[in-house]
Amino acid sequence: MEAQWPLIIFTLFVCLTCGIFGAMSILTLKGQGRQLQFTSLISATVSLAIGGFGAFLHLEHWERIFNGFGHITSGITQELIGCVALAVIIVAWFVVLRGGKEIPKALAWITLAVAVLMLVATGHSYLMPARPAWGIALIVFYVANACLLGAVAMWLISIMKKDEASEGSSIQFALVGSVVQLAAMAVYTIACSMTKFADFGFYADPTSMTTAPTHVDSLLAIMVSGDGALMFWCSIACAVVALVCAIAAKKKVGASKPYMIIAVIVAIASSILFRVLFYQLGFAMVLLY
Amino acid sequence: EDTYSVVSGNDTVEVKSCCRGCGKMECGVKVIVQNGRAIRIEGDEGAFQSMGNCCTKSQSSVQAAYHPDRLHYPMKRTNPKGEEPGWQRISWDEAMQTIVDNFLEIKAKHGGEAIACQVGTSRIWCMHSESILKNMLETPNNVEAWQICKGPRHFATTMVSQFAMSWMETITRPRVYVQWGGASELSNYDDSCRTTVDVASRADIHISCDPRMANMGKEADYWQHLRPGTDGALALAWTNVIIEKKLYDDLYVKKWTNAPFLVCEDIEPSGFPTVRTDGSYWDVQTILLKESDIVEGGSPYKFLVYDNNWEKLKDEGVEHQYGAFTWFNADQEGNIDDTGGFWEGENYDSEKAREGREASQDHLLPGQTQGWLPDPMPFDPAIDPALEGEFEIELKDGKTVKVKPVWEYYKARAAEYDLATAEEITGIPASEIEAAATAYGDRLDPSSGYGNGGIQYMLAVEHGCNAIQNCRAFDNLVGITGNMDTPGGNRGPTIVPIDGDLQGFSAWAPGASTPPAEVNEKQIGAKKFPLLSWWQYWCDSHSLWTAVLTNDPYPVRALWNESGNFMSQSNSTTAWEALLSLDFFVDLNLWHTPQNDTADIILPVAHWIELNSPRASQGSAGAMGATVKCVQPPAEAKYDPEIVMDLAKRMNWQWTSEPGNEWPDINWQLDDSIKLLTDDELTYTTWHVENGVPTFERHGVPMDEVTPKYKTWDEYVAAFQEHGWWQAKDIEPRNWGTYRRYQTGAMRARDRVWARLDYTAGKGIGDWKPGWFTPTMKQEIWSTVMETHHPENRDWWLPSWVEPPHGPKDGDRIKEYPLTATTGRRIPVYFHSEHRQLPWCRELWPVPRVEINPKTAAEYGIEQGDWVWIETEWGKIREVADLYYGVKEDVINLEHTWWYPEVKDAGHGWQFSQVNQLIDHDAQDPHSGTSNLRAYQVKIYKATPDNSPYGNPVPCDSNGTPIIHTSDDPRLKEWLPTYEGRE
Amino acid sequence: MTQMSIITDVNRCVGCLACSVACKAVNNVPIGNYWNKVVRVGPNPIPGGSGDFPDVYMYFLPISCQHCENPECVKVCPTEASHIAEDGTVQVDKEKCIGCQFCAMSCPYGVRYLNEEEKVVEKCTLCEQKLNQGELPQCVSQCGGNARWVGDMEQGLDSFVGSFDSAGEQRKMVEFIEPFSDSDMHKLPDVGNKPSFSYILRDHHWEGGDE
Ligand SMILES: Nc1nc2c(c(=O)[nH]1)N[C@H]1C(S)=C(S)[C@@H](COP(=O)(O)OP(=O)(O)OC[C@H]3O[C@@H](n4cnc5c(=O)[nH]c(N)nc54)[C@H](O)[C@@H]3O)O[C@H]1N2
Ligand SMILES: Nc1nc2c(c(=O)[nH]1)N[C@H]1C(S)=C(S)[C@@H](COP(=O)(O)OP(=O)(O)OC[C@H]3O[C@@H](n4cnc5c(=O)[nH]c(N)nc54)[C@H](O)[C@@H]3O)O[C@H]1N2
Ligand code: SF4
Ligand code: SF4
Ligand code: SF4
Ligand code: SF4
Ligand code: SF4
Ligand SMILES: [Mo]
Repeated sequence: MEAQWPLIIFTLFVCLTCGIFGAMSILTLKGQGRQLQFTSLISATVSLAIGGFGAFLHLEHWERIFNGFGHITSGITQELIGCVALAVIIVAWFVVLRGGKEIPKALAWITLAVAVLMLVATGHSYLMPARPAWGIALIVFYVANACLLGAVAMWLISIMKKDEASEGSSIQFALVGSVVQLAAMAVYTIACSMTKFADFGFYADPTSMTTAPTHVDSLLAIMVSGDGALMFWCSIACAVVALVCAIAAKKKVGASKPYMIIAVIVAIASSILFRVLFYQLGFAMVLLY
Repeated sequence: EDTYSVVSGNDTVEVKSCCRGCGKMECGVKVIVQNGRAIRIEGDEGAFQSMGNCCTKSQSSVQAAYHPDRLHYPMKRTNPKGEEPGWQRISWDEAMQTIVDNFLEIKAKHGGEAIACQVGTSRIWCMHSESILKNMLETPNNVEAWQICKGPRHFATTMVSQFAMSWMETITRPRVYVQWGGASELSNYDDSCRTTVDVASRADIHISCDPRMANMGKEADYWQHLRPGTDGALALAWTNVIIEKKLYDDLYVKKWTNAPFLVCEDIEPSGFPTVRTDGSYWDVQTILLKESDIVEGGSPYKFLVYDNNWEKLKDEGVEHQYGAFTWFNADQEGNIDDTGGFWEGENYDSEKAREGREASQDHLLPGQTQGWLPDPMPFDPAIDPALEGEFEIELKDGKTVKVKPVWEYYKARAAEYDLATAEEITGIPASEIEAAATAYGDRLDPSSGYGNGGIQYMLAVEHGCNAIQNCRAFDNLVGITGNMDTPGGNRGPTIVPIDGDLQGFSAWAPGASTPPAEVNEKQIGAKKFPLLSWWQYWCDSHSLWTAVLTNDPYPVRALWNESGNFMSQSNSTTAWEALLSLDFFVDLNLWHTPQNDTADIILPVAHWIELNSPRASQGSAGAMGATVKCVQPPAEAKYDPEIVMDLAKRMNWQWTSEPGNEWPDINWQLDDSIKLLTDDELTYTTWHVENGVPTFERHGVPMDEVTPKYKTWDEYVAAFQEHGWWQAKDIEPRNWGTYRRYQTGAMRARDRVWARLDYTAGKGIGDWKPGWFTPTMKQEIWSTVMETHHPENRDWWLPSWVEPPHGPKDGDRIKEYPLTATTGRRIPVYFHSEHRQLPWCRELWPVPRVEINPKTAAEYGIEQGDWVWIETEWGKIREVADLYYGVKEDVINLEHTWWYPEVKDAGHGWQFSQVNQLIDHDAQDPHSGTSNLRAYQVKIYKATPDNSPYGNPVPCDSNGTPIIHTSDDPRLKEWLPTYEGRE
Repeated sequence: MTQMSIITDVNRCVGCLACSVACKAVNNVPIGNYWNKVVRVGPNPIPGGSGDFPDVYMYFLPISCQHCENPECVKVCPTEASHIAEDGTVQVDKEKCIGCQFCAMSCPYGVRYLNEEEKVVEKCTLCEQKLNQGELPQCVSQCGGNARWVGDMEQGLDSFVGSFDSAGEQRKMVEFIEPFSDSDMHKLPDVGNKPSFSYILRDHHWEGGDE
């Protein structure tokens, strides 16, 4: 399947948004990052807006978007609700911060929960038995990816705001995030290696005789050495670089900016590449049509 | 001429009609007309012959009729030939006058023979070129698709049994269904897809003889996967099995074939005058033993046989004139005496010959008439003509010689194809050949008294340069197994009083007939193919194009083409060059086509939903109906016959001999076409023969006295809408409704309009004598026509087979050209070159395909979807690889007649993929001149940017724009219907 | 309960493509898109054969929306545009559809697509407009091989009918086609969507697995 850029943008920014909220909430629970909160909130808001806008690009009749709340089992409906929930959180944070108050721990916990649920919902939208490449592992990936993206975002913001305590925590987060991301990638790889496609042997679709019919013997092969290899290996390499940056930056708190810049770039790259890979691998179970 | 909407006073109607999306089948369809516009076409369930079938082409006809690229006006070219023509609209008057002027000028300069006509397949209303134009223009030169399609079967069967006995009554559901070199589930060839699938599914045994796994063939119980072009060898191998296992119908063989006739190697050939298709005479010259060979003054028509029973009969008081020998008299025209058609001392009675029972085939459709099945009549007196042995007889010069029955020769010929040899030739394991032949020959129900069914031998058997001989092998095989004119057997053309098919609509014009002998003598190709002068229907297309290019034997400078296509036969490149070099060429068509890019004038014609025509099934389905005009043709388009009549009038050529009605209009023609449908009893003759003395009685109302059932065409159409398709068995109970017509006399009963097509067009016509229409009045295993025309080539006197000329056994060619190509498997959405511009069709089949075994493909580095070059020393083309395990590793299957309407260059890109560029212009069947369209060696290689023009493996026009090769090409949408510019 | 669906007798299907065009003739399907495609499966070597020509078999598989009993496409649809209608068929309410195409992604058979003009997703409707009038789906009535039959799965095989015969009687599947057993009945691979369409293939290997 072709890469669906609007959806890549949407999921990327949803992960970023949730990651930022998650990181903020944890810092808050740790009692850190007070001066980062507003910037983070704005970043998360902008990120959500970009993601939402991206999603709209995918809709052919966005003017009918309110129909989209119509069906609770649908991933999209859940995502929509999630977006609304995130919006409510944003407003709540905004109100609290505008009042100059501390973010209550309860709000932080709720925020964390909403972020995770939103990530699950996003992953769930793609949980389609029709596309073996898009299983539960995708949810794992989105959660992991949010960790990494949130971590590097927070790292950036803490350096911007020169908050060394948060910077330290963020580097810690980035370290964890990249490990988690790599782990999720491994999980995903294992999941793909277990997929099966219907095999019809030789077949021909009269309407597309000039293209060779698709046969998927092994998703793993496509990932590791086939059409998906470029995305796959680059994406892993990026995540590894993020990890290396985090490790290296650990002792350089206060002067971790160059590492942060690299980490941000590779984290985003890794995230995008892996998403493109999802689509590349997103073959339907039955490939005859 | 009004549309049915106008006639019926209803703007929104479902019109029952006869489809001509292809013309290979007369499918009953319903054209749904809404507010005067045809919006859809569906199957007519009431049509028993087609079972409600309505294929892709028929359904897409609405896209053809309302296509934006239809021709609407006469046009003339403004650019030189070979370039984009620069068509300019002109008036009908100007167009027709230009045609007349040019024809007259060329005729004055070079004679009528310098004008050739061309006609395609099955556009029945375009067959004037065969039936009228030749006469009108005084030319014997007529290029017909018939030469490569069905014509050879008709030619061969006319030689040895009866015109078109190749047609099989599939719809009565044979127990064993043999599809040989045909796949009517896709081609709807004479039987619709629905019927084919139903028959094959319900048959006890289904046999497919095909080098490819065919679409219905996939379900066959026996798949005889022969090497392309080896059909004759396989047919003779089957014959051998059937003879060896004595599975043949002994009585039929002895009584109705010339198998017991005696061959005498020691006599000079001699014979008698007999009539050919056009009514002129030729002399049979045969070494079959006749009375005239053994006694001075004996009849040359009396063929001798040895009677195994003569002694017993003698004891019973029946004595033969020549002792152990008795005779059959083939003096069908009563030149010497009136016992023609009967055996020495025979007792026969026409009414007795009809005694029998209602046929009882299983699985007929509700309401389908079974037909009357006369019991086979034994010999009376009970002679037993010998099939085997060698006998001595004294000739009239006193010499005693040895003679052997034809059967012995036939047996020996078949024995040349013993199982081991057949396996080697065809590539089918011997055991499988034996099993299939036995399954066919061994009667599943011996009590039925007839065989398991006919053989549906179809197109492929005509394309490997064994066309005539292959068909003879089949005709004989069907005969000896007792499947001639029996239920589910080979029955020949439907007989009904209303017919538009066989001769084309305008053959009803009383003025029409074949050109006189002195014109026919000049026919191009008849020297090279002597039998063409006997057959007299087509000139050899190869020789014609060569003559255009070389003026040899004489100049041919003008062409009238009404539905023909130069790509269909002979080498296309040669034909194209010939077209470009003509002085004057007029083309009647619905479209711009490759061929009419070379025309001087093009004339727009009507589509089948825009015209009226009488129709009957051409094959053995036995249906009668009509094509009904549903909408008016667009702008200035006209119905083909109208144009020909206009030409006749302008050339001062009389159409009818009725004073004051020399140039009748279409309405008159239509009214005239239904006049023979009547409730009166149609004429027939009964014979009573006692001890060899015949008397006869004529019955029924003579043709010119019958009261027509419907006075006008419109009345007929109204009745058709009400009643639906008529069954010929009901309308013609004595003829089509009765089987074994060689026994009842009805086989020779064509005493009506079709006379012209019958073998015996002379005095014998419609004589209702038992027997066949051959010089010997028997189904000829030994062909006296062949013997006479090819006295030097004994091999051909019996069915025979040779390797196709450019097949794997053609010297060393196989080294350079390792794969055997077959071509022409039908594409469900196209009719030959037609329909490439219909969106519903093209999107389903955007590109031509070459089917290739996956193993072979791998060897060549070819994958599914790759463009592939296919090459011979005569040309090269590109088609798209389709990995198909259903062909052998050394065989490929190519599609034919591709061109690309989206390409605007002269020729519309026919050069890219059209398969008949690959063939040798000189490789032909030695008798019918039929092109070598299948079973020749080719080489292939993957098309790459490096070896393709414009660096593109996809064919491109002169601007480098690729052809439409995917179904999502936006150009397809530009071809959707438009309703402008019609009225 | 009703579950209207189509059964195809694959032995009778000859790939004539009449059904593909028939669908276009009544449903206004855009050029280049299909509600019903006839795919050729094989020829493939037959199990237990030599692995080579001529031991091969092929069949044709008309594929359209399978009107699943547990349709993923309905589950993922955020707007309820995709829904199960009263007769058990799966339909798209084009007025509601936002064109998100998740339904298209969720269908295992790829039978849904975005109509480029209307910007909504569409697919085979089982000719609901005709079914509602008591008429046959066009691909059933025009099927070249009389291979296609429509009926209510809940009512059993006896309810399946097809084209009319020459006497004007509607053909009943179980009376018309060659005998078959339960093991000859196949479905397209099911990933939980429970396709309601069935395919009858006798004497030959069904590719793609049954489950
Ligand atoms: N859709 C469609 N229908 C058509 C036509 C069309 O163009 N399109 N054309 C019509 C016309 S004019 C005709 S004549 C008929 C022809 O229709 P058919 O007689 O059915 O002939 P084909 O489809 O050419 O070939 C049938 C089979 O012959 C096999 N074959 C190829 N070579 C050989 C060989 O050497 N020996 C044997 N035994 N088999 C071989 C092919 O594999 C193929 O399966 O179709 C008619 N119907
Ligand atoms: N290699 C290979 N070549 C083959 C074959 C094969 O199997 N293999 N098959 C052969 C066979 S069986 C045949 S029959 C021939 C077919 O040979 P043709 O009949 O010569 O070929 P078509 O391509 O059908 O072209 C007919 C032309 O008539 C036009 N036409 C259609 N309807 C009408 C009408 O009502 N009036 C007029 N005036 N014009 C009309 C069409 O637009 C088209 O241009 O092809 C043969 N060629
Ligand atoms: S097979 Fe020929 S006659 Fe029959 S519906 Fe198709 S195009 Fe018409
Ligand atoms: S086949 Fe696909 S589109 Fe049709 S109901 Fe099933 S899942 Fe939905
Ligand atoms: S494209 Fe339309 S029908 Fe499909 S899931 Fe989205 S809203 Fe539902
Ligand atoms: S049931 Fe109707 S909509 Fe569905 S494929 Fe058949 S013709 Fe098309
Ligand atoms: S119309 Fe019938 S026989 Fe023809 S391809 Fe479709 S399902 Fe098969
Ligand atoms: Mo033909």
